[in-house]
This record gives sequence, structure tokens and C-alpha cells, in this order.
Amino acid sequence: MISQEARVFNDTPLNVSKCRDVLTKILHTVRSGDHIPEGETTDLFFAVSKLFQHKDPNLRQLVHLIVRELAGITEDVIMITSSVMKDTVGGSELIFRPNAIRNLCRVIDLSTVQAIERSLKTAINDKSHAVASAGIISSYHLYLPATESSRRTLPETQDALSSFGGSSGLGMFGTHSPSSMPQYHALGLLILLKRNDRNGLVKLLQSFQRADLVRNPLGVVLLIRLAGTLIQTDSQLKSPLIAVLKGWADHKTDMISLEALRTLAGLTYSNQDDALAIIKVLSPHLQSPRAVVKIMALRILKLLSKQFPSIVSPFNRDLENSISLGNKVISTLAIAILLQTGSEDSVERLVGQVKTFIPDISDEFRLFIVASVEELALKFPKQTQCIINLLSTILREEGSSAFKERIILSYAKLIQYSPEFRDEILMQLCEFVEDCEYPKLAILVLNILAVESSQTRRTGPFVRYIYNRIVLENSNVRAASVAALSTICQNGGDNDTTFQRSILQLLTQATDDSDDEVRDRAITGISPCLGLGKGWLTPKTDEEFGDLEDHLTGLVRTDSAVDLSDWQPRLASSHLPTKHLETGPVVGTVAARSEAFSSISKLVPMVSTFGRVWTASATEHLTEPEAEYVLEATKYIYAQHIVLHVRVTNTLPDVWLRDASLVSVPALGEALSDHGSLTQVFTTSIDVLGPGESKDLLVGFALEEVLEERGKTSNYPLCKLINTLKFTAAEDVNDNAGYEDDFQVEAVALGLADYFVAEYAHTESWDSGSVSEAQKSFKSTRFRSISDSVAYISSNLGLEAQAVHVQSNQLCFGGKLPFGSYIDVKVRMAPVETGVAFQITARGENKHALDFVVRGFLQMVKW
Amino acid sequence: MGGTFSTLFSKLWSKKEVRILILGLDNAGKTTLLYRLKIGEVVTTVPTIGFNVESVTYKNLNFNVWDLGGQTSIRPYWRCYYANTAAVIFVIDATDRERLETAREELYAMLNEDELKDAALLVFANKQDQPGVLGAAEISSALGLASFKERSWSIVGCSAVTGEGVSEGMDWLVTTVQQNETA
Repeated sequence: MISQEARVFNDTPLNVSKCRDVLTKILHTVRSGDHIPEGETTDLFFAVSKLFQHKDPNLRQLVHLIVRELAGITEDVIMITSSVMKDTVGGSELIFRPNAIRNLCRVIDLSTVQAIERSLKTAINDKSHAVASAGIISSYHLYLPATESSRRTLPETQDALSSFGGSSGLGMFGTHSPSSMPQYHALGLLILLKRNDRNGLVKLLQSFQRADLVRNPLGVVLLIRLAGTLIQTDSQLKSPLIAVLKGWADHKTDMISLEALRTLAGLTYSNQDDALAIIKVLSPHLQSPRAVVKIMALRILKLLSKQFPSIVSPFNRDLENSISLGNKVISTLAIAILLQTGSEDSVERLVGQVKTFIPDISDEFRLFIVASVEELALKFPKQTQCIINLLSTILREEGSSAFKERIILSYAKLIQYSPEFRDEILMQLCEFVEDCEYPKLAILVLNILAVESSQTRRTGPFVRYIYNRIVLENSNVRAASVAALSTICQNGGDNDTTFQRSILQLLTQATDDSDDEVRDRAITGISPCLGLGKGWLTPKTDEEFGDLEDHLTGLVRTDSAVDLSDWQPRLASSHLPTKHLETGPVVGTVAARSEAFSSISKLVPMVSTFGRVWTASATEHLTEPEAEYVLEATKYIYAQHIVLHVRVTNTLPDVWLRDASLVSVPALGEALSDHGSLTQVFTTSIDVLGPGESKDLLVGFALEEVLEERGKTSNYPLCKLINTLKFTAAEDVNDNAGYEDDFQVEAVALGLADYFVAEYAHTESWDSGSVSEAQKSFKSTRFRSISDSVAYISSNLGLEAQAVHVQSNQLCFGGKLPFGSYIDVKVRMAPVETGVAFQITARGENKHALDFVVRGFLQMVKW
Repeated sequence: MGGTFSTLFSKLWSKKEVRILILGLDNAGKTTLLYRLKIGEVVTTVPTIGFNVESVTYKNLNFNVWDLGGQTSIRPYWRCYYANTAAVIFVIDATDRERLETAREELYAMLNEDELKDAALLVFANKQDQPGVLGAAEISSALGLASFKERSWSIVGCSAVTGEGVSEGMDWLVTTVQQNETA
């Protein structure tokens, strides 16, 4: 289409106005993101290049604008190098000269870049602001492909920065004349050029921090951002730079003031006074009639409210009024702040507001709101009923599948954290699925129903809804319904044969379905229920799938008949605790890891006596990936044992390792470490490890059992294990001589995170029935703010972010060790001059376990 | 009849631009020739990365002259500019005996293109002011120009620097282009 119109570029003589029309069309097409097929861009480019024959300046400017867009998508730009370079010289009265200068960096390649350096320098020194800006921008874009060339324009850029800062009549109130633009561009380029030179950046900032030297507000914004980064990298600069930022915060230009406030709000604060000072300057912006200013101010307020929820309360009335202002962004931000800082008693009112507000806003904002609402429900479990009502109302609203999916997932989360609402939530999901226009969501709901409904008091009603899907829906949904029914049949049908028989009846009907996937699922669903090969069709864990696959592959290789009667899952008892999978984020691929582990641990019969694996750590590297021998370790924690699984890879091309084994001993004398009663009980070795081969080593430790009044636990070590690979290196596989060698690798740390499996804590369990308590207070300088420390602790222990009660700077969670009952933990945090102060309190039944959690927490934070 | 039409054409003709390409190996003198035609003077040139394009009036005729770079990396792009070309001026550095064969290959490859099958060909054996230079006749036989039966062609010895021979070649071109157009 475009190519056809571009034929006018080949006419002789050229019709200038027609050409300009077509060029404008092309520009619009390219800028609006429409794709031009590859073959067409080349043709188009050459057609456009022919327009350089015409002298009309307006046409030429358009040509340069098109070249700018096409240069990135065609490789033939070299053909216009000469033409572009010619346009960069000449008087500043030529309107296309800046465009040509900006294009310089786009048409040049590395072999010709030196030819343009002079043109760039001349341009940057030009008196016209448009030409100077263009030169600086071109140099900026050259930085990545030709850093040196860009660097050589540094003196000219510095000159431009000062020469365009003169008092050339610039507005003070947010308006800025274009004649100061080179300052902004020059600052951008200078910051880029000096980005590896911190002293240079500090000097740059110091020499321009007087507000009147840089006239361009955008330039000042750059300086503020620079100050923000410098403060974070050097604490010595903190107090002088904060003073400068405070100066800018009072600037009359909104843009400058807001940027300074945002930077200040993002910094660490030792007390609320600084936050209040920010709020004081911020409050006029919050009242601003200009939406863009108000939005930015609200964002800053949201940032502050995370750390200091109480300081927002004076604005609550304003925020509530803002919801009804009509600007969707403002309303969403306001409601998000209110939800974030709301107290338990305001939940109901907020929920009412959300209800009226949700129908009017677009999906992007709705997702945001649903996430905030979900957070609220997990924070205030007592308000769950109210939140479920809200979710059910908004689930009935018109909305995209993404929005509804988010709500369904929130429901799924609520079932986990508030099981008492399971029946009600499932019933609402059933109603939803009755009239659901998205097959994908229907399948999601059916899967949830399959798993959860068997835990309800009466599964029957749910079965009815599921069966309706088989009758009414398309084949995808029918297949999911059949799968759901067979899951229910297996999970819940065991105790009630009448019920089971009824479901089998339904499944049998489904075997007549018109879709073969549905029929297949129905048949695979019926067979285990009839006792045919029960068990093997529903492997409990991923590792059993791997096992089954191995078994089948073996059968195919040996060409035997497929007979599964002798197949037994190898590690039926040692799959990972399901709690771990539900609450914490699973790190790494559990399946791949445990598959390797399960096959090697069979070689050590003792491992099978250890019982269930409590946790498996993520795999960590003990060497650089490019080392001669690459070692990766995974820790497996059992109730009374620890097994270290190390995979050794020999990357040397001509060395054989014989009798390789791992010596793993606790490190002595480390601060805060406690290696308990770690006794090595077995170790394996590798006979021969050839070049490029990978093999596994295991080292097992036993722990001492500690008996307590109310239970037992183990003396879990909190220490580092120092590892050395011992082997005999030989240059030939048959070489019996060789020489003995040691290869020292990184230590493996054993900490609280390895033993503790976190669960979400309901606040009410805190005061009920716990008998013992352990407590400790300490300070840590490793964190700059409370949010830093919360992030660190949450990610280490696999906590849900919602467990954090921001209001009181309190982290509440609970969990279990391999032994013993539930342990409740509260961590209070307070910002202090040098970091963060912690007070950890653990409550539970087993005193020894509580002490261990407290010690382990201290070590985790301090190490 | 023919006479009336020819006058009519020549009137129309004077408003229309004739598209001419200047081609040849690098350092043959194409850009110097272009500006000799345009402003009648010698300019300092750098190797052309891409092309130069100028409008030139010669003998009351408007030419749109494209001087395409002669470097190896640019030559593949020549063909993108062949369309609607009335004549090709092929410039040879007559002192560069070693690359005469390369020049011949490029010339034949170019003339084989369909879009140039009706274009007239003027070969300039350039740099005649230099010592030890080959004459037009020697270049002509080296290039095998005599084998072109269907095409209007001519070869002229010239020097773009001194101007010698340039108008002789251009005069031929003007006549030939006008004849081609009215034929």
C-alpha cells in the first residue's frame, strides 16, 4: 500500500506537495507502530533517498524525519551517508539542519564514525539552541556503539552547558523556553559520559546545585535523580545532598519540587519528622487542580504511607473526596492508599466505596484494586466475610478475563488462609461457572472445585454444578469437568460407596461423549475407582512421574511388553512436604532436583531410614561455573539427619579423577555459629570421573535428638560446612599412578531458612494456648530501612508479603520445624540511626525449638 | 510531419529533467566531474559514501545528475537508482591499468540490467592530464565497446580537472538523448 503511493518519489519532475503528503502518511504509519514488511522497507528507503535530489527545505526536513524512523529497520542507510553529512553544514537558517545532525549517529557505521566527530563538535558549539541540542543528542546516541567518539565531545558539551544557562528570559512557573534545552541534553550526556567516574559526577552536581545555574527544569530533574543515586552509593554525601534536595523541594516549578520530594521520600528515614517535613511541602501539590501534579503527589504519598501509615490520616477525608473526582488514575491511587493504610474498623466503609467505584474504571485499575483488597483480607482475617461479599459483587460485573481470573485467584488464596469460608467461596465459584463466558476461567474454577470440594462437608451440591458443565459446555470445559469428577471420586468417594457409584455413573455417561479427549479422561477416571491399577495413574509427586517415565523408557528400550504391575514408585514416602509447596515460593525445579537425588540416595540404604524429607534447599554453586571442577550442592533436611548432595562435573579435557570424595566439616570459630551435635554418618565416593562427566556425591550427618517436656526436637546446627573435594588425578583412564589432590570449594551454610517451613499466622493464635516464649532484641546495620529488612526476611523464609503488618512495623508469621508443633513468631522493627533494631518473640510448646528459632533468626539477620 | 513533432517535443523537453547516472570505480573522478558540470570549477572531494545529486543545465537542457559512490561496498546499491535513466556516464581512471578489468566487469554487469537497456552510454577516459595515461582508443578496445551493437555509445578522453574533452562528450550526450527521445 505504502510502496504503491511511494511511486510518486520516482516521478520527474517531482511533485513536492504530493511527496510531502505521502511522507506524512508513511511517518504516521511507522510512528503508530504499524509493521512494514521487510522487503517493502528496502524499496521504500531507496525511494525516499531519491528525494534528496530536491532542494525544498520542508520536503527535506520530512525526508530526514523518515530517515530517522527507517534507519533502525533497514541496513542500507549507508547510501545516504554523504547526503546527510552534507545537510549538517550550512547556516542555522536551514530548518532541516538539526534533523540532519540528529540523523548523523543513525547513518554512521564504525568505519566512518571519525568523519563525523568534527561535524558534531561544530554543531554542539553552534549558537542556535536547536543545532546544539541536535549535536549533543547525536553524541549521546553514539555512546554505546562508539564510546570514544562520544567522549571526545565532552569539552564542547561542557561549554554548551554553561553557555546556554545565561539569563535568556526563562519562565519561572513551569514554563521553560526551548532555548535552554541544550542544558538538559548536555547534562544528560555528561552524566552518561561520567557514569563510571563517581568523583566527576559529584563535582558536576556540586558545580550546578545552585538553582539558578541550570535554567532548564528538565535539567534540574536530571540533577535531582543524580543526587538520589549518589546518596545511595555514598553515605558521606547524604546530609549535604539532602539539604540540596530540600532546597529544590521548595522550588516554584512543580516538576522540580515533585521530583525532589519523590527522591526524598524514597530515602531512608530515621524518624517521622523528616516524613512530616515532606508531607508539609507536599500538601499544596495534593490540592493542585492540575491532575498530573496531583497524581504525582499521590504517588509520593503512597510511597511514604508504606513506611509511616499514620502520617496519612490527616489526608483521609481528602483522599475519600478524591475518589469521586472523576479522574480514574487519581481515584485508583487514592483508594489504594486508603486500602493500604486502613485500619480494621474502616474496612467495611472502604469496601463500600470500592463497590460503587469498580464499575466505572478500566481493567488495568481494577486488577490493582483487587490486589489491594486481597492484601486487606489477609491482613484482617476478621473482615474476610466482608471482602468475600465484595469479591462476589465485582465478579458479577462485566469485565475482561484477566480481571475475573485475578478475582478467582484471590478466592483460591482466601480458601487457603481462611478455610472456614471454603464452602461459601466454592458456592460462589459454582454460581460464577454457571454463567461464565470464558472457557479458560471455567476450567480454572473446575480445577479449584476438584481439589477443594472434597474437603467440604457435603460434596454433592458441587458435583451437580460440575456435571452441568458436561451437559452444557464445549469440549475443553467438558474434559476439565470429567477430570474434576474423577478427582472427587478418588478423594472423597472412598467412605461413601453410594456417592462413588453415582459419580461413576456420571463418568460412564461421559464415555459416550463426542470428543475423544473427554472420553479418554472419563475412562482413565473410571478405572482407578473400579480398583484397576489403583495408585499408578495418580502419582503423588512430580518425582513419581519421572520414575514412571524412566520405567516406560526402559520397557521401550528392551522391547518388552508394557506391564506396569512390577512398577513401584521408588520414593513413595519421601516427597516434599505439601505445606511447603502451598505457602512458600518453590525455588528451583523440585522435580529435576529430587529425581537425581532419589536415584543416587538408593545407593545408600541408610537414607531410606531417615524418613520424610522435610525441606530441600535450592541448588547452590560451590565453584565458579568456569572452574576446572564444577560443584553444585543441595541440602536435604530430615527430622534427625542432614544429607548434602553434591554434583561434581569434570570440565578438564584430559584428566580422570579416581576415588573422588567430599570432605565436609563444620567451620569452627565463626561468630554466631553453633554446629550442635553434627556427626557424619556416611559419605559416598566416585570411582572414576572422566573428562566432561558429571557424577553425584552424598554426605550424611546425624543430629542429636533433644527430649523436651512437651515433645522432642533435634539439635539443629547453625553453621557453615567447609567442603574439600579429595581425589587422585590421572592423565589416562588406566593410569594407576596419578597424584592425590585437594580442591577447596565454597562453604555451605546451614541456617534457620533450611529448617523452618513458614505458614501464615492468624493473629488470634498468638494469645491462645502457647506455653513457652523466647525473646531477643538486637540491632543490625545491614539494612537501610524497614522495608529492606522485611524484604530480606520474607524472601529468606518464604513468607507471603501479606504477613507484614505495616502499621506497627511488625512482621507476624508462624511455621514448623521438622519436629514439634506450630511456632508463632512476631518480629518488631524500629529504625535506628545506624540501621534497624529488631525484637523477635517466638511462642510455642517446645522451649528448645523456640530458642533455636530466635538464635537462627539472629544469625540469619546478622550474617 | 516529423519535423512539427520534433519541434513540439523539444519545447516540452526543455521543461523536463533528463536523468543521468555517473558511475565508475572509486577514485575515477566522478564527483569532480559532477561539480565541473555543475559549477565549472574543481572542488576538493572526499570518497562518496552514498551519492551526490545535482541539477545541471547544459545547452538549454536540464539534467538531473546522480553521482553514485564507486567503493566496493556501495556498488551493489547502484541498481536501486537505474529506473528512468536516460544515459549513463561511465568514468574510467585511464591511469589505473590494473583495475581496467574490474571496471570492464562492472560496466558489463550494469549494462545487462533490464532497466538500462535503452540508456545511452558515454565513457569518459578520465585523467588525460596525467603522464602515462591510456588514450580513448586503448580504453575502448580494452573494454570491448565495439561489441555494443544495439546501444548508442561513445568514448571520449577527458580531464575533469582541466575541463579538456568534457564538453565534447556532453555535446554527444545531448544530441543522443534528444534523438532517442524523439525516435
